[in-house]
Amino acid sequence: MVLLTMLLSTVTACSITSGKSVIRSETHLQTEKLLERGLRAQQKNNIQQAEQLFADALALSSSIEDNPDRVIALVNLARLNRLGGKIDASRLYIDQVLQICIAHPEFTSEVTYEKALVEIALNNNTDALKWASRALDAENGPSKGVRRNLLARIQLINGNLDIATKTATIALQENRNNDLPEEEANSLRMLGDIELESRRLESAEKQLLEALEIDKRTGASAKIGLDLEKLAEVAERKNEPLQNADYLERACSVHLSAGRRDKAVFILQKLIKAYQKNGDTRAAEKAKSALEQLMSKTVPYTSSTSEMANPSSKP
Amino acid sequence: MIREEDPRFKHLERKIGLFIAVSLVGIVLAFLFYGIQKDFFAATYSLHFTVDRGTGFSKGMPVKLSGFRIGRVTSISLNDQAMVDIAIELDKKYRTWIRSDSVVKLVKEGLVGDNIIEVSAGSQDKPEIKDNEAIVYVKTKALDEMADEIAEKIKPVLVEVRDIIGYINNPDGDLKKSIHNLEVLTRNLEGTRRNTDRLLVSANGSIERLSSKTDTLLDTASKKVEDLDLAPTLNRVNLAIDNIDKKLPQLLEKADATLTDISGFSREARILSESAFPKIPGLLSQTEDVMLGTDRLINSIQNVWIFRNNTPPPAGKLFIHGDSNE
Repeated sequence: MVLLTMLLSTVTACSITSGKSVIRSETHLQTEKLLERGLRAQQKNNIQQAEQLFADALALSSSIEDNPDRVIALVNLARLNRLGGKIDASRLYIDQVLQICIAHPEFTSEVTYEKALVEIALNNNTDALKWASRALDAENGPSKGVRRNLLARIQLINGNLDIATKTATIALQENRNNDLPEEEANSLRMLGDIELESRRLESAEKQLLEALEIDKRTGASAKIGLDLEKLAEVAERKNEPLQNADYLERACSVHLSAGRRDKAVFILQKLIKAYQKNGDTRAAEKAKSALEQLMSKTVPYTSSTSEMANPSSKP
Repeated sequence: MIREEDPRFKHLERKIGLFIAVSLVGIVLAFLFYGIQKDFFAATYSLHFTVDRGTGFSKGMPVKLSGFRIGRVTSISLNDQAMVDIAIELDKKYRTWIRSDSVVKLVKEGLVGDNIIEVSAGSQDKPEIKDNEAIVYVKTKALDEMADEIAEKIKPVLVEVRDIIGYINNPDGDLKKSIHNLEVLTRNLEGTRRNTDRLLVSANGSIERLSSKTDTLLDTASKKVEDLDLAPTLNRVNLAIDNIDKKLPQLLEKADATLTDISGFSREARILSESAFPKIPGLLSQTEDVMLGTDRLINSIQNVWIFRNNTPPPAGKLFIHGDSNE
């Protein structure tokens, strides 16, 4: 009992003497709550609600000139719009943040990183490279590998394979060290892609399979589809038509199940060619009719559409 | 020597002198009158302007302001640029109206009248034009120029009119054909009327036949209805109504009781809600306060030195994850 009293006294004393106590105003707390709720809505894929909550947070933080929260709200709005394909809106938001974050260097890395992503979406690769380099320079925390991944991606787009390989290799190590599996998979996929471009097919397959395994673990559906597409390309170049068709079927099934109809249509077209190349006319015909159905349908995914993606598995 | 004097020549010198004096006075008066008429004695000042053609201008032609003669053309001469310099002399008393924005133009007085020079009155805020200064000349269109312009404008209209008349007169044109068709139609109208009359007569007969058949049909139907035996059906309906009569009072009693219960329940609910509703805003406010208090408590706890190092900064956590490959 005495010990407990002593412990409590010590804790209280320490808390009193541990410098200035941070008392957040009600407006600050409300802004943070809105940002948290927006983040949760985005994670649940309620994009419209998330956008509204971030906009409310932006208004509230602007009303008290709470620049850190304004930066967060604006970056999140820019990111949401970019991911939703509204690049012009995204650019407007991120350009606003760039003005504010001059006085807040702690956000420079995140803001310039998003700016680089927006520039990539606008096909301004030169500007994107400039902003990605600034993001990497400004980063002092565990996201160094993330920033470097983006740099490698831009180098890969620009066709600088050697620089991209070096950058992605360092990024892979950094992401492994910082336990960032999604970015680790990104590094591996990029390295696999580079190997594929350089016609080192065995190495490419190894990297891509590793990336696929991580993506499956993290449950990143779009990336699983992407890995499978790349693996199908490797199999095609290795002249393994059956393996190629198998990967394409799997990729198509993944995209269809996640409701990415356009991607599924694109892969089905590739799949038809693969079947025709294999001489499997029956499967090609089935895939063709599945493609026609898919292109005429406006209904969302059903189990029957999933079966469409895998015509060879049917009797 | 006798000097014979004609009484008619008596005071002849004086009479001649008087006649000459009266004549001279008359001549002077006439000259004065002419001079006044021609503004010879009025105080004048000169202005000049340049025109590209001297046609229509003549020496001595009047210069008018608002229809009043205020001066005349004093000289017309060809200058070095083969243009015509015209000098005008204006009465000084009208000087106040001739300002730097005044303009002169050559106009005709009426349709067949003489050419005159018309001066426009200037703005009072502009300075007066001084003696021997230039005044702006504005070229007006001559009658032949205006006629040419009108002719140019009318020409396409006349061409259109000619085309329209040609179109109307064309025997193979739509209009002539339409008139011809209308004529044929009018001629055939009599035959059509005759056919319609025949059709109406035959329709009348048909309606009479139809009417007699309908009468027969209605008679038959009436007989059939009379032959129908509705007694069993009516008996069954009576039985059903009797049953309903017996059960209805009980049902109504139950419904009454239920309604009384509902009424009591709604009264109680209203009393409850009346007592509860005013408390709701207060409760909500209290709940909000409690939640805010909890937030503050958590915030304070996060700032306690024991937890502070282990609590990650919220800023980073609040960003949406930005994937490098998206």
